[in-house]
Amino acid sequence: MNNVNDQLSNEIRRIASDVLGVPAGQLTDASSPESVESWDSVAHLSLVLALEQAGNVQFDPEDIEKMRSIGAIEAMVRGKRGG
Amino acid sequence: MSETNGLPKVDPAPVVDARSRIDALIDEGRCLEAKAALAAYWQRDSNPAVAAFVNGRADRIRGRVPLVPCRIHVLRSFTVESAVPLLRAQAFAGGIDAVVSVGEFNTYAQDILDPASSLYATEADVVVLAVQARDLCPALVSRFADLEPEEVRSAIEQVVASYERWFGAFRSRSSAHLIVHLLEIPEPSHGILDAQIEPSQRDAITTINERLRAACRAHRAIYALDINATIARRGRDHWQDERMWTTVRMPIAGRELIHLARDWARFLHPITGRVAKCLVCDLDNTLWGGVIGEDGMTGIRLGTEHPGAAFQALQRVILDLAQRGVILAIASKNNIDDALEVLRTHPGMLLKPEHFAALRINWRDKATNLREIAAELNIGVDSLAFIDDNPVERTWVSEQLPEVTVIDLPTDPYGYARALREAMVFERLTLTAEDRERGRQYAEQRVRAELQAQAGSIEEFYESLAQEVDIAHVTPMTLARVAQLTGKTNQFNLTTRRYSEQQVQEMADSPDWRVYSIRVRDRFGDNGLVGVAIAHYVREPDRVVCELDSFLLSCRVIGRTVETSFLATIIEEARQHDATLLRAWFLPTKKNAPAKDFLATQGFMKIADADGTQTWEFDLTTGTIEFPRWMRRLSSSA
Repeated sequence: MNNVNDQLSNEIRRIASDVLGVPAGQLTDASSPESVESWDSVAHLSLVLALEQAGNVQFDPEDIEKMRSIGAIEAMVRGKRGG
Repeated sequence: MSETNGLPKVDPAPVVDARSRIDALIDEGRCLEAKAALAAYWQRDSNPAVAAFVNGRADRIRGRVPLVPCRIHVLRSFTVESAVPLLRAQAFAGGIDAVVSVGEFNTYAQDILDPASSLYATEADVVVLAVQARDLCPALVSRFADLEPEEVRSAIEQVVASYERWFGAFRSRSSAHLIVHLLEIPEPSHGILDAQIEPSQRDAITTINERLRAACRAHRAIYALDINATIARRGRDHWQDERMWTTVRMPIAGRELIHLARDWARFLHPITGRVAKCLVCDLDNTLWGGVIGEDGMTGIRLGTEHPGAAFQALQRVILDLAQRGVILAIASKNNIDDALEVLRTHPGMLLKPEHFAALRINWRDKATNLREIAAELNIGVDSLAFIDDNPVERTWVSEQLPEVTVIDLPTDPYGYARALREAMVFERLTLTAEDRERGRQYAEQRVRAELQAQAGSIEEFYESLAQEVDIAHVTPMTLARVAQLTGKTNQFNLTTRRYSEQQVQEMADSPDWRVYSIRVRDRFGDNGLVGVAIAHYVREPDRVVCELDSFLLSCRVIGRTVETSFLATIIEEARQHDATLLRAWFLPTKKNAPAKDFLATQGFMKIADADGTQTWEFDLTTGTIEFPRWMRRLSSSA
């Protein structure tokens, strides 16, 4: 993984850590609403909004449904940013 | 960083720096600095990610920094959860610890009408009623083209009647403040035809909103939130998000939610008393363009034309604040004669010397000058706000006096007026006659102070003031001012108990309570209604005790025996009610040191001092407090 991808990955984990109230080090690609207790539907919406504004991207309702793990979020953001 | 792949728009390094600096401050226990850094980080970047960070760190320093607690409950017809973290971060930056709960979707009517509902169980200080037109009266929004004029009128009546019923029920069950969203004006079903017909769709909603505002005014502590003003400012095309509305019932675009959160936070400042009483203004390049000492009277820029118009616009906003009761002062590094000449004679000046209650035009540092201004005006340093174009001066004042609200100005002077107008510490929810007169009263106070310096004995000084007091029971006319004084008087206040208008009214209506107000006049003018006392008569087995629940006076009338005249009058009435004992408390706070010795000097005995509560008693069978002979009583409550 190159440096740019590391940055993206770290940024997503930092935002998820703040919104979900979980240390960034505990979040993996597999972390999801099933494995993180605080990741409920309200937190999910807040997370999506935080990512949208930090990254200047917009997600469609279909995207939001798919973003149900840290790994899936990363793939979605990368796709939106054309990377 | 990459243009295409990196998530943040800005270099992440400063973000990480700001965050690790804040974490380091918290780890070192430097909580006040951490709070200031969090507030600055939030003001710089008000987005959901930063809100989550700020709220997380706020949890770590809560209890170790001064914050005013405020419980908020939101009744709603749409998803507001995503705005809640933004509200909490915004409130925290303004010194308010907001605890927020949210009602179920569309249960607001039953929550208000059912005394056993979760709404009343939360015991919130502030309730927000966030209902949209499209939920409450969908016909007026999406099916307007189907309606006959009669049907429109009847829909309007129904909506207004519902709100009136809710307001009445709410007020009878809760003394909380209620903030009511007015209804959003929809896009017209009829296109340009809407502006030609009667009733138009726009008129229908506007009529409802006007009548809602009237219904709010008919109740105490129910306020209208003009959501259309915010939508207009942001632009409806940006504000709405139909996709989010139909999927997660959130009608407002994510990046616009901050403006809803700020609208709510704006109300919290006057409600919790986190307001500034005085605006201290810089002069050069703030009230006018240029430097008077260098550019001279003809060189400074100030007037109706560019570029002076930006500065005149700022002066107009400052005048608006003065009309709202904000005291004005000057702190400027200047030669006083140069500066005063501009104030007195420049044709572009809207502000004149008589608008300012205190002047510090000298070459000393501004933090020292601000401290002196607060002392001269008898207000706390935390009641000051400071406006200055120079970021170095702003930083200096922020660091030296973190309790001062420093207005952050943009580099473009045309942005100054709006920056000041949007400062939440100047928001008010009521405007009393006293508020409008305050500037003049403080100017008179300056002359009074000069007289005191000339008088020989203190009694000569009292005599020379020719003071008249009017002590009366609270009336519907004075209710708002009485509640306002309990809410904001910090210094000469024995118990610092805050009461809403509703609560004051309840005490006034009770046979066991007396709520007094005092108005003070002297040879220089009318000081207005400046003090409140609340007495509670308690029947003990063998006697009647008059308990002084609250006793407070504005600091500008302290030290000239007004307080003694007030207490003497309360005692006269207590005797008429056969009270044999007067009981009072002093509850020390960070700010009420000016009231600390009052009970002792009046002859009360301290009978208990525990857990931050001093209990004092005055035996009415053996002593009394005389009404000062140099004062005149206009009319007595007794």
